[in-house]
Amino acid sequence: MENEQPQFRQFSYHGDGTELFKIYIVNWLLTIVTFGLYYPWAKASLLKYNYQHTKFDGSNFTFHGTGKEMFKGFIKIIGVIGVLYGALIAAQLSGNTTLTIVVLLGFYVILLLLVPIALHGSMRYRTSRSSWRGIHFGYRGDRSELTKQFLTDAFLTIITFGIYGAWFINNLRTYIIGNIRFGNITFQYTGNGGDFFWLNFKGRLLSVLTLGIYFFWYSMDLFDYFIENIYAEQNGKPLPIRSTAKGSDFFLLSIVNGLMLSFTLGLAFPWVQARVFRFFMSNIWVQGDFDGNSLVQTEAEYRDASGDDMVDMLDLNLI
Amino acid sequence: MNTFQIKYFDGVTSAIQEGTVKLSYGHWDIRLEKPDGTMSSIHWQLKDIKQTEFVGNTNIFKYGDFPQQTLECNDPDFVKALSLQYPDYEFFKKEYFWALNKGTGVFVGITVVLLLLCVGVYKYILPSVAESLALTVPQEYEIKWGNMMFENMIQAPKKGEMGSELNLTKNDTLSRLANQFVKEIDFKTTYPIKITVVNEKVVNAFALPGGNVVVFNGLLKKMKTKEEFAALLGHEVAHVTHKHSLKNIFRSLSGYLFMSLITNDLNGITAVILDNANKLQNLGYSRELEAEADESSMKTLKENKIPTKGLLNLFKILEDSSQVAPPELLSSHPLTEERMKFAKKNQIMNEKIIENPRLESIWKEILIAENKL
Ligand SMILES: [Zn+2]
Repeated sequence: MENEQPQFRQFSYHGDGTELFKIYIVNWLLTIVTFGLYYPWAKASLLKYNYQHTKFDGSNFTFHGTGKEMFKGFIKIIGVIGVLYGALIAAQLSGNTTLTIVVLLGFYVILLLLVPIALHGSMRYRTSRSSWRGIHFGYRGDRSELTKQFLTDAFLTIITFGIYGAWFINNLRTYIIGNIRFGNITFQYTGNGGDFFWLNFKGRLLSVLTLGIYFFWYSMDLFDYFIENIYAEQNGKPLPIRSTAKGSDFFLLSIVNGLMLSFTLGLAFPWVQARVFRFFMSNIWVQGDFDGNSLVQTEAEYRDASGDDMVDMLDLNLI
Repeated sequence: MNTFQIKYFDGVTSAIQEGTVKLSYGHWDIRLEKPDGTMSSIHWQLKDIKQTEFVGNTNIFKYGDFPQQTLECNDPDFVKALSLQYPDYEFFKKEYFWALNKGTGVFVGITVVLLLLCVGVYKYILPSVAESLALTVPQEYEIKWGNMMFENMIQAPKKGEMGSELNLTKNDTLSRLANQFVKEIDFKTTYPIKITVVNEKVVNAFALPGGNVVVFNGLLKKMKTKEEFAALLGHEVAHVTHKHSLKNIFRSLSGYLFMSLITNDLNGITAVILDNANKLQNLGYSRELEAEADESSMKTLKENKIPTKGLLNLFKILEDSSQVAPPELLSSHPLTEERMKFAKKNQIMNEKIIENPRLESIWKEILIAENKL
């Protein structure tokens, strides 16, 4: 006897600034007291809270990752970085210029190699540890394929003085999003480098010309471009994803957030974050005939958080 | 009574299954209604009920290994029933941070206390730890480092070549005379003091750790009496003797490390504010060190029976040229009212001076070298 389902389904964020504030304070204090070792647990508690308070079609998401998993990854990555820096320092202390240059080059090559490997690991971990109505996400990308593509595109970006960067980012998104699974839902990214290049070109130019005011519209263009080019499919039925974020709304949001932060010397940060999440989530819609009850668990479990920790540590924000 | 309405997800499909849960001895009885109207029944063993969360009004329970089953209950009496039925069993993991389990007031109180503790550590414990660490550095290392820094800064004059932009060019004659001058004064220091006069118009001087003191000719040129020079040397040697460079480095470093630990996870604005507070703190500390060096210089003048008005006159020279002075070097000399006041207050009128004829004659030679006689 049900009516026809609505053709749009919205994401929503229900997190509360006060609760976030408590989480931040506890995380902050424990991270200081433990000289940073608490960091993985801090990250886990924040992710858990934010996932739990993000809803789609009436059900919340769950983050299954734990501080312990991320701590193990954290230690591994610290080890790798320690060895790299150790070699660099040892080479410098040896006073041998050739050796120093060779080790320095090796250092950068390894660091560059680590980026796609970390991205791959991070995607596998994050997706596997995220679920909705008990169904886990998954990532089926191939590590060596991603690495090859990443290094080729990085090389092209360098020799074109960054112009190829737009294609680089787009290819990366296409590969990664194309390999995400959610039960029997597949994803595709339909953006292309040329459009993305002109979008950035226009955005930066106008931002400069308007003394930064256009930046808010530019940010929303980027957000729209990303969201609207994600195309999901369930059993052959298309589920286009739409963004309704407007530059003017984002502008107002940012002004209020800026005021909140400056009047509280930054203490309002958790409330600002909740406002930002609420804004973005409420502007993402899934169109089409989505059947939230017929998703089937298809993906295997993956608990190695090293890649995710590495991405975090390198502060990568590629996607 | 012991039966509650629930939503259930089996971890195989995303279908929402409506049903009930009954709290029985040692397990939960979950009964679900199939779409075709038949009922099915599932048991959850207490010990495998893994994760419990509370989102909004909903209690969420997870069960088993990957992929987990999920049970959601909106009934406000459910939690009460759980503790009645299983008094020894903790479904809700206690927060690791006990303050979170108390009310908001307690939480805020604890947070404030911990913050004050942080401030206390930063203001009082950290500096004294840093200073005592600085004092453990053996003198020979200090001298070695100081010499290394010195060699990187000073360049011997080469024929037909001006000093490069970065390096300072040594004035050999004046340096030789200044070193003779310094030997005539007892600074009560265990460091090997070496003065280097460099050909720079800048009105400044600084001390490196271990005993090297660099005087810019611009300052020396402006001096009229030997007691001004003695006051300057007294001040710079005090920086060396009291290990001021090392203390300063250790304190800035520890402050920096402490701040990066604290601001690591903070948002931009708060981090910037704390960072600037740290800079201010450091500036305050270098003022403290200057004051200590001034006091020490005054003491040296008195002990060597050199006129104490030298310090005040030195400050007058520095004040006159402060308008044109470029950014200061390693040891900054922020001129404040306080320093002048200190010099005025402590200078002795009609003091008993014992003239050291050798000091006087070396000073004359310096004046001649500067073309002032
Ligand atoms: Zn000084």
